[in-house]
Amino acid sequence: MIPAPDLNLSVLLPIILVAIGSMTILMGEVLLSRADTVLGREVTESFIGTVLAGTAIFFFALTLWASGVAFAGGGVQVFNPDNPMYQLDPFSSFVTAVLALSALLSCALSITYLSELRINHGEYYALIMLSASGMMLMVAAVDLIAVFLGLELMSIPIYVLAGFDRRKLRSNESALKYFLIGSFASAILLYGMALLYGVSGGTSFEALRAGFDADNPMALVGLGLVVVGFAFKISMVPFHQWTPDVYEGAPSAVTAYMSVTVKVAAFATLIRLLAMAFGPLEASLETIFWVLSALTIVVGNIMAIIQENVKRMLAYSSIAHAGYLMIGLVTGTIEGYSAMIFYLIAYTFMNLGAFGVVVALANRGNDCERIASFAGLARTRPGLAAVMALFMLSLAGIPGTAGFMGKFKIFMAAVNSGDIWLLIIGVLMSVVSVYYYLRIPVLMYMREPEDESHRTEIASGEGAVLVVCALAVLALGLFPNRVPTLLFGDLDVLDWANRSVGMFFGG
Amino acid sequence: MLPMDHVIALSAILFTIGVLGVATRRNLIVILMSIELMLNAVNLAFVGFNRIWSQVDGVAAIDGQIFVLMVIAVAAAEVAVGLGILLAMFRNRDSVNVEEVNLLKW
Amino acid sequence: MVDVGTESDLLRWIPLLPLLVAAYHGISIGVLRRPTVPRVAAIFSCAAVLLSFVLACIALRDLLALPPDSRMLVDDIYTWIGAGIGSRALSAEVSFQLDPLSAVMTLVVTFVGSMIHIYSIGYMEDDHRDDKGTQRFFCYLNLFTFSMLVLVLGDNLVLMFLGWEGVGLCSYLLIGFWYSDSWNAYCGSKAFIVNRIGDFGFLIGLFLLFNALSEIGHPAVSFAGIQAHFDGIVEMTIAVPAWMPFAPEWQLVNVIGLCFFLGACGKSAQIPLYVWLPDAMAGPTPVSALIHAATMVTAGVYMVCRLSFLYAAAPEASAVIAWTGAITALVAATIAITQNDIKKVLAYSTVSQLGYMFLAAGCGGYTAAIFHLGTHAFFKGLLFLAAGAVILAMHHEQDMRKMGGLWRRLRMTRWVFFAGVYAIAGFPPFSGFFSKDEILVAAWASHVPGHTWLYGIGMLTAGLTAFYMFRLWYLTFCGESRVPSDVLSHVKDPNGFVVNPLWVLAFFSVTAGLVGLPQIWGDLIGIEESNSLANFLKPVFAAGEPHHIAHSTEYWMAFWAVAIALSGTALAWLLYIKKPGVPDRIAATLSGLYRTLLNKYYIDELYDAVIVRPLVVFSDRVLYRIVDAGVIDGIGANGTAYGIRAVAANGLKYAQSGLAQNYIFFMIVGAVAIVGYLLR
Repeated sequence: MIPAPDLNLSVLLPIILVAIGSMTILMGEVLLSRADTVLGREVTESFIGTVLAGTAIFFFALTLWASGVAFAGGGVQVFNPDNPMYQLDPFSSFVTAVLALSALLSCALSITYLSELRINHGEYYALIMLSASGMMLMVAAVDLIAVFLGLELMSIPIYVLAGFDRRKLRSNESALKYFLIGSFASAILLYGMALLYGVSGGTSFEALRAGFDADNPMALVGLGLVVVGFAFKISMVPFHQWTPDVYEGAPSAVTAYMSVTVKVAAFATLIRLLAMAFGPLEASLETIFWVLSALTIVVGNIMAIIQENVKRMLAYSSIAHAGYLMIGLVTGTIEGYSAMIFYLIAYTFMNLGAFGVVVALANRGNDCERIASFAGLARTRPGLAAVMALFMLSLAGIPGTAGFMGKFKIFMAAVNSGDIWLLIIGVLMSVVSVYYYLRIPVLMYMREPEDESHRTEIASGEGAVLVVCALAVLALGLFPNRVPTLLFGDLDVLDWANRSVGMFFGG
Repeated sequence: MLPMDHVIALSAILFTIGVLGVATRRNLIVILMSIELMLNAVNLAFVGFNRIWSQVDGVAAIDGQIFVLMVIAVAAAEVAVGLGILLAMFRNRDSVNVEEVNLLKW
Repeated sequence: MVDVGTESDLLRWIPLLPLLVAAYHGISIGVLRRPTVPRVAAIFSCAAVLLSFVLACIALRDLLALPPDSRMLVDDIYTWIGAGIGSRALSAEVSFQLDPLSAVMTLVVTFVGSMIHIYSIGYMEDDHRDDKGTQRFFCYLNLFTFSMLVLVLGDNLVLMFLGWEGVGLCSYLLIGFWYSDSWNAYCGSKAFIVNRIGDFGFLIGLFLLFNALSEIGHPAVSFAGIQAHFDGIVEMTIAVPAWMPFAPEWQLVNVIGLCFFLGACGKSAQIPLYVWLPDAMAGPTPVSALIHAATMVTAGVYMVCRLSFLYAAAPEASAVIAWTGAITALVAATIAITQNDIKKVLAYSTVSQLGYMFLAAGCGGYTAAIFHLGTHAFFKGLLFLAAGAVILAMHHEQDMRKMGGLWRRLRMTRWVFFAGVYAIAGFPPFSGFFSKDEILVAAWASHVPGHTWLYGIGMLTAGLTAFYMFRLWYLTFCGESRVPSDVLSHVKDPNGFVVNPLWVLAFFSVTAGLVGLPQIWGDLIGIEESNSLANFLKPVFAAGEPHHIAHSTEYWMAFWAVAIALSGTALAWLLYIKKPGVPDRIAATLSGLYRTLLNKYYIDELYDAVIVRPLVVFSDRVLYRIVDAGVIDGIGANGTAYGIRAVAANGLKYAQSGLAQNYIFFMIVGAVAIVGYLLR
């Protein structure tokens, strides 16, 4: 008889919570939609939506708590010591917490939006939770099998979510493009993994590291293909072209969710892969990242200038931000990685906030996605205009906001590791970015309102998300190192970022 | 006994065919099939490599085979979702030609 | 290791209270656009500053409870800027510290500040220019108080710079408070621009200092950190080309010291950057009193004293400070003699007194500088406020030639005004006497080259000060009234908000000198350790070794100081009371000299001709029309913008064709390129 392996189930707790949540929601929807029989009375669709969203938020909050506790505890735990696939360590628990928080905010953002668009189906939240569990699996994976599983578990629900407004052609198209290109990229990634396996004879990061042979062409091809696979997920130029199309076509709430969480998860996985599987960056890989980063920053910012659709503009802006983040990878230092984590957090809040405003403006039959439709918003919706202006300033990297501190830390890391030219490109292109970001505040504050009718009142969920994001953007900008809060004491974000990546540098 | 080099070469050829298929065919169903072909090339490579490594070590190294199982399962899920998306598309457009899908651009 | 001091969470509230109220005002007029009732808004502001003063007193009590050598309260709030690693790590904390020096400054700022806030309630009620005016005024005033407190309480140079810039900004906003008059806006801009030159020096000094400390492996911006590792950089030098003066190398600390002093020159209106202060009188009078007499302009003195350890190691820089201060004191005093605008006289007097403080600081008499800073804050704040009361009573008439004989009309203002004049003229036992005397003693005893000359200049200036202050007094309050009779009948003391703070300030103008009673006087009346201020401040400052001065010499110095003040007073009496026609005849005889003084040595005209006009012409013709509009806007900004747009709109855009297979094609190309590069 085979002795039962010594499993450490608590390691899986965050993922289990999310998975249980998604199942609960699926079951709940079935029960609630038959509510007249179960509860004995009619319930409205929006009530069901709210209950399900509440469930999702509850489980994400639990996950946030669980990963927070794990992070506070520190240390490294693996699920199965004999065959480590999944590892709960400061890095994964921290990134999991970030993911849970942004997924939670996305759920709160979706409630009213979905009923406005008449796509209030319960599986929406189940899909979000499933994809979140995939991300959490991926960022904690220390084995290629687990990375692959997590990646697919993340991607497949998002393919569906992108096409969630299935009566709309644009939503269809968005889903189709994402699916086609996404599965193509997955196949390339997989082939790279197969080659790496062929070289090293194992799928765990440890085995990869031990067996990696830089003189073996097969290893280099495998490495290149894996990089391509991730470059797709984080939309590096020239693997970025799906991004604007998918972001534009998908329902805004979905775009908000995927633009943030997928990027966080993919970057985190890439960091772990580079730090644990490939060791310190090889010189050639560094060059590749350098070129990709420069290309991404330039193309993303330039293309954003000519956009007339807010979501498309934000999509290109998110490409550009991926380029800035990439600078952290190029440096390959603990400072660079820590700056990336900080930047990702800042990016989470400001991007979620910006998309949140778009969501909060959306009306049935009227998306209010044209940039021109923001004209005069300060007159008609002063609160929304104020937070939108804040998010735009933050995305542009104006001092006093989270975006500035993120860029500052990234650029500082670049200086300290000697990547001056990348820094110059980044700063110059940041200047270019001001052009398209500030267009929106200018329109909002200095132009007369258009006739186009926005939604006139804000839902409580959206309002709460926007307030949280705005406060976070301000707090991280003004108190980048330690955020004083009334409720939770001081939040030492920078220290967390350092601690989370510190484990890769023996800290 | 089949030399493993040949298996790997075959998988590379299959993968290339799949890539070309995805890149050039117009019919979405065929593109879907090409993606499946790529995934199967990956499976073949995993199985081949697993064979090599189990001969080297002389122990039961089955990482590659497990990977293959995972890939098969995931591929099935992917195809299911892909077909679903395709179907929704087809209902709205009455067409499965990928070249007609260009509403979102620039 | 650096002594960290005692934790005290109290400190943060001292600057925070005014900030909160400023934020409240800002939100209510800027965002909500619903101004609060002026009286309520004003009371909020006053309460905040008064409360800050109370907190400062409590903090002082805590400070005094500590043993003298470790008197330091710190309030570490959070790391504001953390950047870099290892020997280049910059960590600027938002952290406040209260040591004896900043305690004195904080008390002066909050106390004089709250008096002036209360005064402003009455003063601004007279202003009916627009509805938001009062609240806007108090918003700026509170913001100023906040910035000033950050400046004095900050425990590092970066935070100090934040306050430094903050007070500059508020000064600009308040000088141009009545911005609908373009002259006021011009004066605000002038103050701001001249200050920028000084701020530039401050920044360069900060960079040099940080760089030097990083080179020895101890990057620090906090005062404690700098001081702890300062020994390591004293010997550093900068190599300079042979054609520069003092080649081949300069001592680094001297360069740093001079850079910081340039900043102090800008803020504290010293030659060559003093020209903005007289024009700053365009602002409301409480602003002149608070910012341009009592607090902000003394920030430079505070900085020099705060960096006393640096200047103690930089004798050349200290000598420059002493001489600059002395010459400024003299020049400004001579200008003040001929001015006819009551506020202008006080403004030049402020410049002159600030010169005194720098004279003291340059001579190593940091205690004397701070002492004079404190007493000056009282009597000059008082004089400005009392002048404001006169101006109010005269319906915004500031020309002394149209005053005179107000003694009978302003029955309360006259007393407080006289107390201020008496104090600044340096008659015992009023506060000005002791602080000025201490400065003169410090100058006499110092090692600065030509220190006896410095003493002489100080004495001469003291005489001039007495002369022009009594000239002001006689012209305004005594003699025949030159006020039109219809105005004169309405002249009366302003309301209680205006007058009552004056009594408080007058009380302190009279008595504040006793805080720093020199030991020689203490010995006379049998008090040990009579100079409590000096003893309090002693741990903060670098100890120098001045020349020893015999007690008898000190008494003689005091005697001569009083004598020269008396003669200045007598001369003023002679010229403006006894023989009122004489000044005009003197002016006519010495018309060249008179006009030079009246026109302030033509310094403004000189700057205008040599710097401003060429700069404006150059800016307009070359920088604006060619470089900015042509090159930067035309080719640079717009050109780049159009260029980039064109690249995107005509080129890159078409790569984004909307066809999934095109995207896949680009991905394949990218993948091949990456793999190809790896395999190269």
